[in-house]
Amino acid sequence: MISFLHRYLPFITLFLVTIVSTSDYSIYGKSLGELITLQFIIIFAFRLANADANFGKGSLLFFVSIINDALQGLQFGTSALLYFTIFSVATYQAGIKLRSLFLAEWVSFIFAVTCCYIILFFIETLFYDNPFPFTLYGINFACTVVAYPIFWLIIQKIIYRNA
Amino acid sequence: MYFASPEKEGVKRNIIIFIFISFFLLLIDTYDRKYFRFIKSAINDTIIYSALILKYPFKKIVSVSQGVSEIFDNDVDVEEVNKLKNKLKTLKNQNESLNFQLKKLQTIVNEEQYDYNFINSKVILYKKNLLSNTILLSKGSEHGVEPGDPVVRENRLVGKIIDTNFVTSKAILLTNIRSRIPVSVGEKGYKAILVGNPNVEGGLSLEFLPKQAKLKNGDKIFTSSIDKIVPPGILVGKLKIVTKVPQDPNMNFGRGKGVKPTIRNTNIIKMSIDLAFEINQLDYVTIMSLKK
Repeated sequence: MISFLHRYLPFITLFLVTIVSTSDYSIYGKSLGELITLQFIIIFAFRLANADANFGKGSLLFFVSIINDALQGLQFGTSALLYFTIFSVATYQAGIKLRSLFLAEWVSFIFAVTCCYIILFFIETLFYDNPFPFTLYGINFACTVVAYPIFWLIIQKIIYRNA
Repeated sequence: MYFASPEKEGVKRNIIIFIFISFFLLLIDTYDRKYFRFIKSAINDTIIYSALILKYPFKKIVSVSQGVSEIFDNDVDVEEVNKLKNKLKTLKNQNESLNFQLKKLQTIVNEEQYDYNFINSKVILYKKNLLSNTILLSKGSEHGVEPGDPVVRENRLVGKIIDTNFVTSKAILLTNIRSRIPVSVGEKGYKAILVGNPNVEGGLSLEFLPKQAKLKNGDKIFTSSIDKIVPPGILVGKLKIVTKVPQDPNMNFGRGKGVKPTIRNTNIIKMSIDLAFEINQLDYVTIMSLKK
């Protein structure tokens, strides 16, 4: 049971975050979903904290991304592209690291999130034909990056401390 | 030292495969609206209702805690409920009579008349985050809902349908960046386009408002009919203008095309639009579907 949890906790967490809407909670008039993209943090932090957290070799990640697309009313594949961008950077980082270095992980997380925003920019402008709300995305980027250390601490130092 | 294990290699291969699949899906979903649409509708409906079932325990826990606190609240009594029921009946009758009079007047002035089906729907999910500002409704194409149909609550505009599945549909709120609604503003009915704009207070801005428009604080905004996009006369919200000195009734509020308003009067500190509905009131809404 513990081994099952150890392996599938990242998927279960990501799944629950996707199902239980972060829009229900707000801080200073902005919904939590607008401020922080929790999914990015969960994928990245769990992948680096646990070598077994490969989300069913990516298949479970794809499954959650389709659920997210359906619930958000997005074109299928939008979330998957973003999730796999984060996941691939995390996988690369997990492959080259010798030991857990927070700063290196944080920098690569910033790089991964930046890549996601660039992809999102192209998706929004090419596929959705939407104007890109730079301010909204800027706030979300800053809050997501700032929130990462908190989740890193929880996941690496509390959840996987004895793993 | 890093050694490539078969499992790690498998993950890398899968990442590339899934990225290709995602891109392929995105392309199909964007450009093939004919065949893929049926599959997508079925998948969407299944996922939405499954998510609702899974979310139910979480909602129940929250509602139980709220219910416990309401046990001690005895303000609502039977007499009050009966009074409200009578009031509702009176208002319904008034509404019918006013509708009848309106139709008569429209016939006299030769105004185009549109007939709408009113479809009551439950808001099953509200999503506000980086990727969307939308509501998912419990009625879909099977119930006659079509993309473009306006969504109202208590005769106040909430948004419009942008996508339908078989038994659910997706609507964007007025504050969504994709929302564009033709409106008439103020007593003189200046025509403008109400645009969702997350960069301004209230999340809304007016575009194409005539430069000579003279408006005042509290002026109401109603929908205006252009090519049957939305029925005219639905309340959208009101203007909120803060000025340094008591307001000059002849001040201009002309705005050019674009996101930033060009406010011409230097006494104005800020101008925003207050919506006629509260997001947290959105439990049930009405979809106005144009009768064919």
